Amino acid sequence: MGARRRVRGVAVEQQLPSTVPADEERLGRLNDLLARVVETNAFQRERLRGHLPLDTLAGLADLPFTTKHDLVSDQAAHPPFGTNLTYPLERYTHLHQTSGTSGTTLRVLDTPEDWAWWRRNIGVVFRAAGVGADDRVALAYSFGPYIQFWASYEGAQDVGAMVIALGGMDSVQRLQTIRDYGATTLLCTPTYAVHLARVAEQSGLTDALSSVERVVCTGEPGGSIASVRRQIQLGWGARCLDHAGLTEVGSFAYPCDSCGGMHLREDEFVAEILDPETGEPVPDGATGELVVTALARSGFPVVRYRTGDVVESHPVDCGAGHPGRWLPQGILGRSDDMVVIRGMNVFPSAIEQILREFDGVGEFRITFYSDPSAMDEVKLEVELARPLEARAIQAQLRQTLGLRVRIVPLKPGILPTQIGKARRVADLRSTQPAVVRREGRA
Amino acid sequence: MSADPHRRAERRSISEQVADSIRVYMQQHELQPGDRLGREEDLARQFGVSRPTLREALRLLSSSHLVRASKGPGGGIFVAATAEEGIGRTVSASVASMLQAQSITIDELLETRMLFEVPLVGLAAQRATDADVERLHALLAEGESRPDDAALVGSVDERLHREISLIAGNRLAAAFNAWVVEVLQPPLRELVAPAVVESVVVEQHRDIVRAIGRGDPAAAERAMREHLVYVRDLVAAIDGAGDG
Repeated sequence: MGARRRVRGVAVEQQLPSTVPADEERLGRLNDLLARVVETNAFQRERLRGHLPLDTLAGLADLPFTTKHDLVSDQAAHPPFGTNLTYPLERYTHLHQTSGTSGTTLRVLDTPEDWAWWRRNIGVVFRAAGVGADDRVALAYSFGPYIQFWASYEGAQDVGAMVIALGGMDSVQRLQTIRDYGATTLLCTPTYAVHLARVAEQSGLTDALSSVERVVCTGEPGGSIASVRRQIQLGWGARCLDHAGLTEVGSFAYPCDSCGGMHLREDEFVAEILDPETGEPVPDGATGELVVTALARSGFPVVRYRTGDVVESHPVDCGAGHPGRWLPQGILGRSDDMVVIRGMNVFPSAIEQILREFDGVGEFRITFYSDPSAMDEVKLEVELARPLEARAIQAQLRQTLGLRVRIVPLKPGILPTQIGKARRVADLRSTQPAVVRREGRA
Repeated sequence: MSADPHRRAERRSISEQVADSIRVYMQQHELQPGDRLGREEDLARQFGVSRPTLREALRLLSSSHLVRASKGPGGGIFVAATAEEGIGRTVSASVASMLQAQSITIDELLETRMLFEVPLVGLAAQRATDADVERLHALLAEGESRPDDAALVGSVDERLHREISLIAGNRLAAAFNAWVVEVLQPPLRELVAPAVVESVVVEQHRDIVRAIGRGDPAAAERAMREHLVYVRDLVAAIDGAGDG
């Protein structure tokens, strides 16, 4: 791939991965990696023993899945860093952790080589988004131990852009900073992009929106959902791009600026799209869970990692000829978010998509509950600036999802604002513990 | 109600028996609020009891909101409320004290309210006269004129519920339901004010009024249930707003 060195003045397209290498080449890289890993990595040795070398990439299917739970349990048994370490601790220079709910925090270590790999891969994201040396990239993340800020910082450096860090500021200060420094690019979650545009309206800071040419989203599904995207594009007067990655996996999808959605980084990962229940590949056009294996990250390797991200197995290339399977809708939702209501699979993100098609929709909260006759029901509390749309939303949900939803229109400002990772779904059904679902994404 | 009125009477004090007699007298003579029963001494003589016994009987009636005493020239004992009004006031007073003591939750009250108001609106849809429907439409139009005016929509809501309860034409049921407007509405309105979307309430009023106008009890009950469920959902949203 051509994204390894910063070369100013070279057309952006030339620095993207030009092709996905042939399977033999990827198989060779994978076997090299696993051979190295299995010697010293206690966590992987148990799992890989007897399976190596692989004869074909399809042979991956014989290896066990890795879940976040596996990694978290390993770290609980061997605190604080667990045993998925290929090298002695002194080789590692970067420590990040996932922002999971309590008890599921995962710590991930990187060597300088692996961190450089992160940097190049986020560099690819920026190049695909058209970000270059004359851009000023505002990072609306905190300076916490979460990888998003630090990886984005590195990636921006990789393409030679100026970084404007927005950590430690409230929304108004962030808008003022974006305005004062003329930021051209904003990185944040899709939810926060919508929120920030709203704050700009409310605080008379709409001039802060004018310099921003593109909003690059990650952290939760939405940046590829047409309605969310449109809302961000209208709010910011900017393009909206999506990318995806996980702290424990790497940056595995880059934005498609031409056709929308994202492309899988199949030059760096082996990607499978599987039925979350059976673990079998889904047919073309069906949705399934994305399962990835990194080809190059040796310090903290993951093999057949269950990302929990639900994507469509889309058989068609994007019109622009970008390499890597195209995910026109990006990430549709989380497999652990999926709920079965009266026999139907329901993704909260699908409800969100319909909501965002209506003007004046603010915060919302979806509650799955059992009514006294033990039927599963859906309640949707939604802030509406134009309340008369409540019934139109109800009709649309019914038509599109075949789902009867009880809508509770609320005045704007009554629900807690979700400015980080959205937690808008509660499952209170009697057969399940009353917990708020949706694991935090890296 | 006791199966054996004689045994029941044995256990009751004289003043309680006198109070019952006055109650019966008021109803047999169809006395209305404001009608004068007479002076204390007249009543004592009429029922053949001592002044203190009569006074105790009057105290019982007054705590049931049925009579009041007025002093001075032209004073005496007056009817304060009809029997069903008395029931309504007694229920209201009890609910108010439970609410104050927090011995009952808003949600219990809202659930009780649904038990009454949903069937009541069904009766109203069956029994409403043209004049009733016209009055309801006038109320609705008032709300529709300024659907974002919280004070106006609140007042329309209160009057609409009261009207429907009366149109249903069952005085006892209306009496049992009076606490909704008298006790529950004021604190409830204050509670949901930050969340309620008034124009949605007006929309629900429209559904209710139209169903009554069409004489469609099932649709009226459905619309009332939706309206009352919305209020419960608002309370739940406010209770849960801090959870996120």
